[in-house]
Amino acid sequence: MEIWINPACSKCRSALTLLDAEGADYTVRRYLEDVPSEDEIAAVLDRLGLEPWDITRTQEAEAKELGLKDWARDASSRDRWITALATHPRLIQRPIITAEDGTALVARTDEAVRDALSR
Amino acid sequence: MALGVAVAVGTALIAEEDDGTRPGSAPPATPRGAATASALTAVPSVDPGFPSSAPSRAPGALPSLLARPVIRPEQAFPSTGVRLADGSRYARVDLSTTVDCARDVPPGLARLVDRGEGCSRSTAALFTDTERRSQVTVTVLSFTRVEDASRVFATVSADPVTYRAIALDPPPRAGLPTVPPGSARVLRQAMTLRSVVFADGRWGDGGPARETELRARTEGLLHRVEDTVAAYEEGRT
Repeated sequence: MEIWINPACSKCRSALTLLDAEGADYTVRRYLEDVPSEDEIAAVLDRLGLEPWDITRTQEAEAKELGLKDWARDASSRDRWITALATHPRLIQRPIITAEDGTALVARTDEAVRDALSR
Repeated sequence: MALGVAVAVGTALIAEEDDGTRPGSAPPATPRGAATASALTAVPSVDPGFPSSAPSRAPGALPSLLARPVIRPEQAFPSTGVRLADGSRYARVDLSTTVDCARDVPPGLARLVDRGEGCSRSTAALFTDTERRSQVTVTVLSFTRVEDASRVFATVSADPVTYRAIALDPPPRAGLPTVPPGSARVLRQAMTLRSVVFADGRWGDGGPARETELRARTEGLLHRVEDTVAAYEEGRT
Protein backbone atom coordinates (compact mmCIF):
# COMPACT_ATOMS: atom_id res chain seq x y z
CA MET A 1 0.00 0.00 0.00
CA GLU A 2 1.29 3.46 -0.89
CA ILE A 3 -0.13 6.80 0.17
CA TRP A 4 0.58 10.03 -1.66
CA ILE A 5 0.63 12.90 0.77
CA ASN A 6 1.41 16.55 1.19
CA PRO A 7 2.42 17.00 4.83
CA ALA A 8 0.80 20.44 4.88
CA CYS A 9 -2.56 18.75 4.35
CA SER A 10 -4.32 17.84 7.57
CA LYS A 11 -6.43 15.19 5.85
CA CYS A 12 -3.19 13.49 4.81
CA ARG A 13 -1.99 13.62 8.39
CA SER A 14 -5.28 12.21 9.61
CA ALA A 15 -5.08 9.39 7.09
CA LEU A 16 -1.59 8.47 8.25
CA THR A 17 -2.69 8.54 11.87
CA LEU A 18 -5.53 6.17 11.06
CA LEU A 19 -3.28 3.86 9.07
CA ASP A 20 -0.91 3.75 12.05
CA ALA A 21 -3.75 3.10 14.45
CA GLU A 22 -4.87 0.21 12.28
CA GLY A 23 -1.34 -1.18 12.10
CA ALA A 24 -1.21 -0.87 8.33
CA ASP A 25 1.96 -1.51 6.38
CA TYR A 26 2.36 1.35 3.96
CA THR A 27 4.84 3.54 2.12
CA VAL A 28 4.59 7.32 2.19
CA ARG A 29 5.22 9.26 -0.98
CA ARG A 30 5.58 13.00 -0.54
CA TYR A 31 4.50 13.77 -4.05
CA LEU A 32 5.54 17.43 -4.01
CA GLU A 33 9.14 16.33 -3.53
CA ASP A 34 8.99 12.99 -5.32
CA VAL A 35 6.85 14.15 -8.20
CA PRO A 36 5.01 11.40 -10.08
CA SER A 37 5.62 11.12 -13.78
CA GLU A 38 2.86 11.34 -16.35
CA ASP A 39 2.96 7.55 -16.66
CA GLU A 40 2.60 7.13 -12.92
CA ILE A 41 -0.32 9.53 -12.82
CA ALA A 42 -1.98 7.73 -15.70
CA ALA A 43 -1.49 4.42 -13.90
CA VAL A 44 -3.00 5.76 -10.68
CA LEU A 45 -5.94 7.15 -12.62
CA ASP A 46 -6.55 3.71 -14.05
CA ARG A 47 -6.49 2.27 -10.55
CA LEU A 48 -8.80 5.02 -9.30
CA GLY A 49 -11.17 4.62 -12.20
CA LEU A 50 -11.21 8.40 -12.53
CA GLU A 51 -10.31 11.05 -15.05
CA PRO A 52 -7.51 13.55 -14.40
CA TRP A 53 -9.93 16.43 -13.87
CA ASP A 54 -11.59 14.38 -11.14
CA ILE A 55 -8.43 14.53 -9.03
CA THR A 56 -7.44 18.10 -9.87
CA ARG A 57 -7.56 20.75 -7.19
CA THR A 58 -9.15 23.41 -9.31
CA GLN A 59 -9.22 26.02 -6.55
CA GLU A 60 -5.44 26.21 -6.35
CA ALA A 61 -3.80 29.37 -7.62
CA GLU A 62 -1.89 27.36 -10.21
CA ALA A 63 -5.15 26.01 -11.58
CA LYS A 64 -6.44 29.51 -12.04
CA GLU A 65 -3.23 30.61 -13.69
CA LEU A 66 -3.54 27.73 -16.13
CA GLY A 67 -7.20 28.50 -16.72
CA LEU A 68 -8.19 24.92 -15.99
CA LYS A 69 -11.85 25.74 -15.61
CA ASP A 70 -11.95 26.42 -19.32
CA TRP A 71 -10.17 23.24 -20.36
CA ALA A 72 -12.23 20.61 -22.08
CA ARG A 73 -12.95 17.49 -20.07
CA ASP A 74 -12.95 14.84 -22.75
CA ALA A 75 -10.78 12.05 -24.07
CA SER A 76 -8.87 14.32 -26.41
CA SER A 77 -7.83 16.56 -23.50
CA ARG A 78 -6.90 13.81 -21.08
CA ASP A 79 -3.18 13.88 -21.80
CA ARG A 80 -3.09 17.63 -21.40
CA TRP A 81 -4.60 17.36 -17.94
CA ILE A 82 -2.16 14.63 -16.96
CA THR A 83 0.74 16.76 -18.12
CA ALA A 84 -0.57 19.61 -16.00
CA LEU A 85 -0.72 17.38 -12.93
CA ALA A 86 2.82 16.11 -13.48
CA THR A 87 4.11 19.63 -14.04
CA HIS A 88 2.16 21.16 -11.16
CA PRO A 89 1.86 18.42 -8.53
CA ARG A 90 0.14 20.81 -6.11
CA LEU A 91 -2.88 20.32 -8.32
CA ILE A 92 -3.13 16.64 -7.42
CA GLN A 93 -5.88 15.85 -4.92
CA ARG A 94 -4.63 14.18 -1.77
CA PRO A 95 -4.23 11.83 -0.09
CA ILE A 96 -4.36 9.03 -2.63
CA ILE A 97 -3.99 5.46 -1.40
CA THR A 98 -3.11 2.63 -3.71
CA ALA A 99 -4.58 -0.49 -2.16
CA GLU A 100 -3.30 -4.03 -2.11
CA ASP A 101 -5.92 -5.27 -4.56
CA GLY A 102 -4.69 -3.01 -7.32
CA THR A 103 -7.30 -0.32 -6.90
CA ALA A 104 -6.80 3.16 -5.49
CA LEU A 105 -8.90 5.83 -3.87
CA VAL A 106 -8.81 9.41 -2.75
CA ALA A 107 -8.87 8.99 1.02
CA ARG A 108 -10.19 12.27 2.38
CA THR A 109 -12.34 10.65 5.06
CA ASP A 110 -11.76 8.01 7.71
CA GLU A 111 -14.28 5.85 5.93
CA ALA A 112 -12.26 6.01 2.73
CA VAL A 113 -9.06 5.08 4.56
CA ARG A 114 -10.80 2.09 6.13
CA ASP A 115 -12.15 1.18 2.73
CA ALA A 116 -8.59 1.14 1.40
CA LEU A 117 -7.51 -1.06 4.29
CA SER A 118 -10.27 -3.54 3.57
CA ARG A 119 -9.32 -4.01 -0.06
CA MET B 1 -15.05 32.04 27.37
CA ALA B 2 -18.27 31.78 25.49
CA LEU B 3 -19.34 34.56 23.19
CA GLY B 4 -22.87 35.48 22.43
CA VAL B 5 -22.12 35.90 18.74
CA ALA B 6 -20.80 33.18 16.48
CA VAL B 7 -18.60 34.29 13.59
CA ALA B 8 -18.76 32.23 10.44
CA VAL B 9 -15.56 31.08 8.83
CA GLY B 10 -16.37 28.91 5.87
CA THR B 11 -18.46 26.26 7.52
CA ALA B 12 -16.47 26.57 10.72
CA LEU B 13 -17.94 28.69 13.43
CA ILE B 14 -16.29 30.58 16.21
CA ALA B 15 -18.51 29.27 18.93
CA GLU B 16 -16.06 29.88 21.68
CA GLU B 17 -13.40 32.52 22.03
CA ASP B 18 -10.28 32.50 24.14
CA ASP B 19 -9.33 35.98 25.30
CA GLY B 20 -6.41 34.80 27.35
CA THR B 21 -8.07 35.50 30.68
CA ARG B 22 -8.61 31.89 31.55
CA PRO B 23 -6.51 30.44 34.35
CA GLY B 24 -4.81 28.34 31.69
CA SER B 25 -3.51 31.44 30.01
CA ALA B 26 -1.65 32.86 32.97
CA PRO B 27 1.62 34.51 32.05
CA PRO B 28 4.65 32.25 31.95
CA ALA B 29 7.05 32.26 34.87
CA THR B 30 9.86 33.41 32.63
CA PRO B 31 9.66 36.85 31.01
CA ARG B 32 8.50 36.57 27.42
CA GLY B 33 11.28 36.83 24.90
CA ALA B 34 13.81 35.02 27.02
CA ALA B 35 13.16 31.94 24.96
CA THR B 36 11.88 33.30 21.71
CA ALA B 37 13.60 33.48 18.36
CA SER B 38 12.47 34.64 15.00
CA ALA B 39 13.11 34.93 11.28
CA LEU B 40 11.46 36.47 8.27
CA THR B 41 11.69 34.80 4.91
CA ALA B 42 11.68 34.81 1.81
CA VAL B 43 14.75 36.89 2.58
CA PRO B 44 15.98 34.73 5.44
CA SER B 45 17.09 36.68 8.44
CA VAL B 46 17.11 36.47 12.20
CA ASP B 47 15.65 39.37 14.10
CA PRO B 48 18.30 40.48 16.60
CA GLY B 49 15.54 41.87 18.75
CA PHE B 50 14.62 38.36 19.77
CA PRO B 51 17.25 36.62 21.89
CA SER B 52 17.66 33.00 20.90
CA SER B 53 18.89 31.51 24.13
CA ALA B 54 17.04 28.62 25.66
CA PRO B 55 15.15 29.30 28.85
CA SER B 56 16.99 28.83 32.10
CA ARG B 57 13.98 28.02 34.20
CA ALA B 58 14.50 24.82 36.13
CA PRO B 59 11.76 24.48 38.70
CA GLY B 60 12.56 22.45 41.74
CA ALA B 61 9.45 20.44 40.99
CA LEU B 62 10.80 19.48 37.58
CA PRO B 63 10.61 15.69 38.03
CA SER B 64 6.98 15.81 39.04
CA LEU B 65 6.15 18.22 36.25
CA LEU B 66 7.80 15.95 33.72
CA ALA B 67 5.83 13.04 35.08
CA ARG B 68 2.70 14.64 33.64
CA PRO B 69 1.69 13.61 30.13
CA VAL B 70 2.74 16.00 27.39
CA ILE B 71 0.11 18.55 26.49
CA ARG B 72 -2.76 17.30 24.38
CA PRO B 73 -4.24 19.09 21.35
CA GLU B 74 -7.36 20.27 23.14
CA GLN B 75 -5.20 21.66 25.93
CA ALA B 76 -2.75 23.47 23.67
CA PHE B 77 -5.50 24.84 21.43
CA PRO B 78 -8.57 24.91 23.65
CA SER B 79 -10.73 27.30 21.63
CA THR B 80 -11.84 27.72 18.06
CA GLY B 81 -11.62 31.48 18.47
CA VAL B 82 -8.83 33.59 19.92
CA ARG B 83 -8.89 37.25 20.92
CA LEU B 84 -5.54 38.85 21.63
CA ALA B 85 -4.84 41.75 23.96
CA ASP B 86 -4.71 44.18 21.04
CA GLY B 87 -8.30 43.30 20.20
CA SER B 88 -7.48 41.26 17.10
CA ARG B 89 -9.47 38.08 16.64
CA TYR B 90 -8.62 34.80 14.97
CA ALA B 91 -10.44 31.65 14.04
CA ARG B 92 -8.80 28.26 14.27
CA VAL B 93 -9.69 26.61 10.98
CA ASP B 94 -7.70 23.41 11.26
CA LEU B 95 -6.07 21.24 13.88
CA SER B 96 -3.79 18.28 13.33
CA THR B 97 -1.89 16.08 15.78
CA THR B 98 0.35 13.05 15.73
CA VAL B 99 2.67 11.17 18.04
CA ASP B 100 4.98 10.54 15.09
CA CYS B 101 6.47 14.02 15.12
CA ALA B 102 9.04 13.38 12.43
CA ARG B 103 6.36 12.39 9.96
CA ASP B 104 4.76 15.81 9.70
CA VAL B 105 7.83 18.03 9.56
CA PRO B 106 10.44 18.68 6.86
CA PRO B 107 13.42 16.29 6.74
CA GLY B 108 15.85 18.62 8.52
CA LEU B 109 13.60 19.12 11.50
CA ALA B 110 12.64 15.43 11.42
CA ARG B 111 16.26 14.39 11.92
CA LEU B 112 16.58 16.88 14.71
CA VAL B 113 13.53 15.78 16.67
CA ASP B 114 14.37 12.11 16.30
CA ARG B 115 17.58 12.43 18.32
CA GLY B 116 17.69 11.82 22.04
CA GLU B 117 14.51 10.32 23.38
CA GLY B 118 12.63 12.14 20.71
CA CYS B 119 9.41 14.03 20.41
CA SER B 120 6.24 12.73 22.07
CA ARG B 121 3.58 14.71 20.24
CA SER B 122 3.25 17.26 17.48
CA THR B 123 0.14 19.39 17.21
CA ALA B 124 -0.44 22.10 14.63
CA ALA B 125 -3.29 24.57 14.29
CA LEU B 126 -4.05 26.99 11.47
CA PHE B 127 -5.50 30.39 12.34
CA THR B 128 -6.91 33.15 10.21
CA ASP B 129 -8.06 36.65 11.12
CA THR B 130 -11.62 37.88 10.85
CA GLU B 131 -10.93 39.37 7.43
CA ARG B 132 -9.36 36.07 6.38
CA ARG B 133 -6.25 37.70 4.99
CA SER B 134 -3.53 36.08 7.09
CA GLN B 135 -2.78 32.44 7.76
CA VAL B 136 -0.73 31.58 10.82
CA THR B 137 0.21 28.01 11.65
CA VAL B 138 1.26 27.38 15.25
CA THR B 139 2.95 24.04 15.91
CA VAL B 140 3.75 22.58 19.31
CA LEU B 141 6.42 19.87 19.51
CA SER B 142 6.50 18.32 22.97
CA PHE B 143 9.41 16.25 24.21
CA THR B 144 9.88 13.67 26.90
CA ARG B 145 13.05 15.33 28.12
CA VAL B 146 13.78 18.99 28.71
CA GLU B 147 17.25 18.63 27.21
CA ASP B 148 15.80 17.42 23.92
CA ALA B 149 13.48 20.40 23.75
CA SER B 150 16.39 22.71 24.57
CA ARG B 151 18.59 21.17 21.91
CA VAL B 152 15.91 21.48 19.26
CA PHE B 153 15.10 25.04 20.26
CA ALA B 154 18.77 26.07 20.15
CA THR B 155 19.25 24.57 16.71
CA VAL B 156 16.04 26.01 15.33
CA SER B 157 16.89 29.43 16.73
CA ALA B 158 20.24 29.35 14.94
CA ASP B 159 18.64 28.45 11.61
CA PRO B 160 14.88 28.93 11.74
CA VAL B 161 14.47 28.76 7.99
CA THR B 162 16.07 25.34 7.57
CA TYR B 163 14.40 23.92 10.67
CA ARG B 164 10.96 25.39 10.34
CA ALA B 165 7.80 23.40 10.89
CA ILE B 166 5.33 22.86 8.07
CA ALA B 167 2.63 25.46 7.54
CA LEU B 168 -0.77 23.85 7.16
CA ASP B 169 -2.72 24.33 3.98
CA PRO B 170 -6.27 25.43 4.74
CA PRO B 171 -8.89 22.70 4.44
CA PRO B 172 -11.50 23.23 1.72
CA ARG B 173 -14.23 23.92 4.28
CA ALA B 174 -12.32 27.00 5.46
CA GLY B 175 -12.77 28.66 2.09
CA LEU B 176 -9.27 30.11 2.21
CA PRO B 177 -6.71 30.13 -0.58
CA THR B 178 -3.66 27.94 -0.43
CA VAL B 179 -0.73 30.29 0.01
CA PRO B 180 1.52 30.11 -3.07
CA PRO B 181 4.83 28.33 -2.54
CA GLY B 182 7.81 30.57 -1.94
CA SER B 183 5.71 33.30 -0.35
CA ALA B 184 7.15 35.64 2.24
CA ARG B 185 6.61 34.44 5.78
CA VAL B 186 7.32 35.39 9.35
CA LEU B 187 8.84 32.63 11.45
CA ARG B 188 8.91 32.70 15.21
CA GLN B 189 9.80 30.14 17.85
CA ALA B 190 9.50 29.89 21.60
CA MET B 191 10.31 27.28 24.20
CA THR B 192 8.36 26.27 27.25
CA LEU B 193 9.40 23.69 29.80
CA ARG B 194 9.42 20.71 27.45
CA SER B 195 7.93 22.01 24.21
CA VAL B 196 9.09 24.07 21.29
CA VAL B 197 6.38 26.26 19.77
CA PHE B 198 6.69 27.39 16.16
CA ALA B 199 4.67 30.08 14.42
CA ASP B 200 4.62 30.57 10.67
CA GLY B 201 2.67 33.58 9.42
CA ARG B 202 1.84 34.37 5.81
CA TRP B 203 -0.62 36.51 3.93
CA GLY B 204 -3.16 34.48 2.05
CA ASP B 205 -2.15 36.06 -1.24
CA GLY B 206 1.48 35.27 -0.54
CA GLY B 207 2.49 38.89 -0.71
CA PRO B 208 5.31 40.51 1.29
CA ALA B 209 3.34 43.63 2.20
CA ARG B 210 2.62 44.88 5.72
CA GLU B 211 5.40 42.92 7.32
CA THR B 212 5.01 44.66 10.65
CA GLU B 213 1.34 43.73 10.81
CA LEU B 214 2.03 40.13 9.87
CA ARG B 215 4.79 39.95 12.44
CA ALA B 216 2.47 41.23 15.17
CA ARG B 217 -0.17 38.66 14.30
CA THR B 218 2.32 35.83 14.19
CA GLU B 219 3.93 36.79 17.47
CA GLY B 220 0.58 37.36 19.13
CA LEU B 221 -0.64 33.87 18.31
CA LEU B 222 2.73 32.34 19.17
CA HIS B 223 2.68 33.92 22.59
CA ARG B 224 -0.92 32.98 23.25
CA VAL B 225 -0.12 29.33 22.61
CA GLU B 226 3.19 29.60 24.42
CA ASP B 227 1.36 30.93 27.50
CA THR B 228 -1.17 28.12 27.36
CA VAL B 229 1.46 25.41 26.98
CA ALA B 230 3.69 26.93 29.67
CA ALA B 231 0.82 27.14 32.14
CA TYR B 232 0.09 23.45 31.65
CA GLU B 233 3.69 22.30 31.76
CA GLU B 234 4.49 24.37 34.82
CA GLY B 235 1.56 22.86 36.68
CA ARG B 236 -0.50 26.03 36.80
CA THR B 237 -3.45 24.37 35.10
